[in-house]
Amino acid sequence: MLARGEQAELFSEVAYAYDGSLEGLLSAIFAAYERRENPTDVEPRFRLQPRLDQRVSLIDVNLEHAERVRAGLAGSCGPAAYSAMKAAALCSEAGSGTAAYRFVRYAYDAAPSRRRAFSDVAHPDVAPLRRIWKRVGTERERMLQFVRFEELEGGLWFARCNPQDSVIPLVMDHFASRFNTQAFVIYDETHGVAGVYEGRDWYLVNVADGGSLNIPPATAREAQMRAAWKAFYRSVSVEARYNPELRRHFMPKRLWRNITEMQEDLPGLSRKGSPCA
Amino acid sequence: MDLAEKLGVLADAAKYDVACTSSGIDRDAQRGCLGSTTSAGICHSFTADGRCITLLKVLMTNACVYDCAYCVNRVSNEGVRRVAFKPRELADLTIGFYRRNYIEGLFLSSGVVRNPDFTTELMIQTLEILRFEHGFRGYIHAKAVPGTSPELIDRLGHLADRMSVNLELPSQQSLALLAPDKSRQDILAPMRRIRENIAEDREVRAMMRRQTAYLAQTRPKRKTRAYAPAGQSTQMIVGATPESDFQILKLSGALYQHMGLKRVFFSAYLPVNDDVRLPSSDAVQLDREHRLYQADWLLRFYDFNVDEIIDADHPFLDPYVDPKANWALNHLDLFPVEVNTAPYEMLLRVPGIGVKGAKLIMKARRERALGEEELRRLGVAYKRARYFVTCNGRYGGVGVAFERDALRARLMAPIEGGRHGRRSARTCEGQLSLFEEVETPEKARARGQARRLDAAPAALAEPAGPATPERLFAC
Repeated sequence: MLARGEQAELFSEVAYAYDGSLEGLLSAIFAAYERRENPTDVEPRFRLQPRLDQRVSLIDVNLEHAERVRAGLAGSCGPAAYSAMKAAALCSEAGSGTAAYRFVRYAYDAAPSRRRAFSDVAHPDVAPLRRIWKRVGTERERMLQFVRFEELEGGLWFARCNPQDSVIPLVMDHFASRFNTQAFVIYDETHGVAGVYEGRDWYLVNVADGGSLNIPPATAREAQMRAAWKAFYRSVSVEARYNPELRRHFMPKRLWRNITEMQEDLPGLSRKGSPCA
Repeated sequence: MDLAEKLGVLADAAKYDVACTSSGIDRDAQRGCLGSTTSAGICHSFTADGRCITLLKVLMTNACVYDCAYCVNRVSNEGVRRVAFKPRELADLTIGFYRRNYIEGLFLSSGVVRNPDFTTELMIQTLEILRFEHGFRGYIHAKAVPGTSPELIDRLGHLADRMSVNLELPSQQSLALLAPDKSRQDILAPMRRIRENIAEDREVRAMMRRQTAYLAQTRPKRKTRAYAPAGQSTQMIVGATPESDFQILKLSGALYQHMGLKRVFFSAYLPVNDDVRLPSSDAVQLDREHRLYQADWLLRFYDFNVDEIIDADHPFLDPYVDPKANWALNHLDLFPVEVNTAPYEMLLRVPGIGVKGAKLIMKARRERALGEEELRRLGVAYKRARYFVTCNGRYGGVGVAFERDALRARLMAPIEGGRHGRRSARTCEGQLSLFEEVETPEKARARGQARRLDAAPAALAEPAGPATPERLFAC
């Protein structure tokens, strides 16, 4: 193993690999300034594909550094820019971390005004971050639309979803205020994250191992409600306007397996181990 | 008859109502109460025809004493099975759906049982259970039945977020022909009443908020609900009667201006009944409906006047070019505009630039000069906009003559309607129809011979029997 200085001589470029969390991303940005390096890629460890002639530097989460970057960004670039940084950390698209890093570089080193850097919508370093922000926002909206709760024995409400970006932290506020009378869990099966609301405040739980999920059976009324909802769904469609392309546009097929009214249409994808199966 | 089956019948009867929006009001959640609303609305599902489901859209009952030619639920359709919800049953169902995140709230309409007042009272009863017993803070859209007494309209409005009265048909003559039980006066009276109530309520609330006295403000003991805070809307059927687009748009423009409506919905006429008064063609004028909505958007979001979109000499919208592009083609002397200096109002009128695009351009050009590259990055439809703009003095539409016909050929775009369904409006004008009357699944259902692919055939074939209010509401 080479020492860091020798490695730096061997390779001309560097990539930062963080742990995939927002704090990790902010720590990586801090590290770039601290070490006076300009990484070509800033990606989560599990997604990083090192390029030729590139040294990989693992970045550990440092909460103190992350907090300094957060305060600086939110203060000087505005809350919208910081919200876009959060979206970049939750986004599962390759290059989202890099886009966030490039924006910070532009805002702090090149932009005429930090305050207005994020408004420069057509700049090549700002546009990618704004696109990611929009993408995560769209996915969040889809979850507000298509999350379906089931009533379980014991008074718990349970929802399963499969968003492409890990948007559970962004939807919990909405559901926790709207359904503040019921305790509920929203489980994201793609990212192994669950949002839990118990009646006062909500928190996130890492459920990396989906097999350990122990869900109580659904109540008797649940099946009746599902049947009623499916009957409603079937009868509101107007045959003469049949337009499945438009439906797929608004309600992507990848989400159908967790949408109650669509489940019967996909026999191959019917869920195993569902409380209502 | 179980709940699912009843719901199926009553949702089926309500589906021809096109309005399904949960927009126009922001109401935060309250600890201990179920529900909230957001002003943009949330669509919770999409039907096979691509329309959104945001509210539980049902009829209180599909029994009706009226005989409107175009309606499935008319009294002379004897094959239709008549059912009704009890107020509590419907309220509980709404709550059940809401808690599962299936819906954003309730859209309550009804056939007319006995008389309009009796019907409205049933609706009020339902909404009172929802609002007062369940403490429901979600969205409620209530339909005012034409001919209801003003006192009941007032009560209904305080429970609902949005009210609507269906205009049904664009003119008095058509209404007299197809809906003989309703008169224009019956429809416009509640509409006016709702407008006045909304204005009055808003004024009173504004006055209460203002600090006007030296002494400590006295707040009213009991908080009252706002009157239809999300405004009112209406809908009309397009294509059942011979009115032109010009008449329809003039009417909707007047409704926006004088009635203060939030939305005017258009519903392409769909043949569900066999009736000599109705057009014999099977064509559903979906493309026409689409163009009318485009014109409607121009009225509401693009600062257009009706007279700019359409005039009496060309009473129908161009089927091949959208109304905004059509306006631009007729006013080529105003183009091309420079994206870096043009005012917002002018950017809005460029084909290919929408409200979002125009706002982004305003924002982006404060920081830098915009060229083609930047415009594309902003998500503007540059392939349409290029003929009407210059970027830093450079015109992007070089190669195409800057005159009406050449540009029109570039801007013509067929309406994307999917590859299914009966978009028979696409047949050319003057083309002969081979069949006078066409059998459609909707007509079969109106006769009581439902052949649904997914429903058990025996369940729906049961004879309907006479529908008396007593039988329906034997609680």
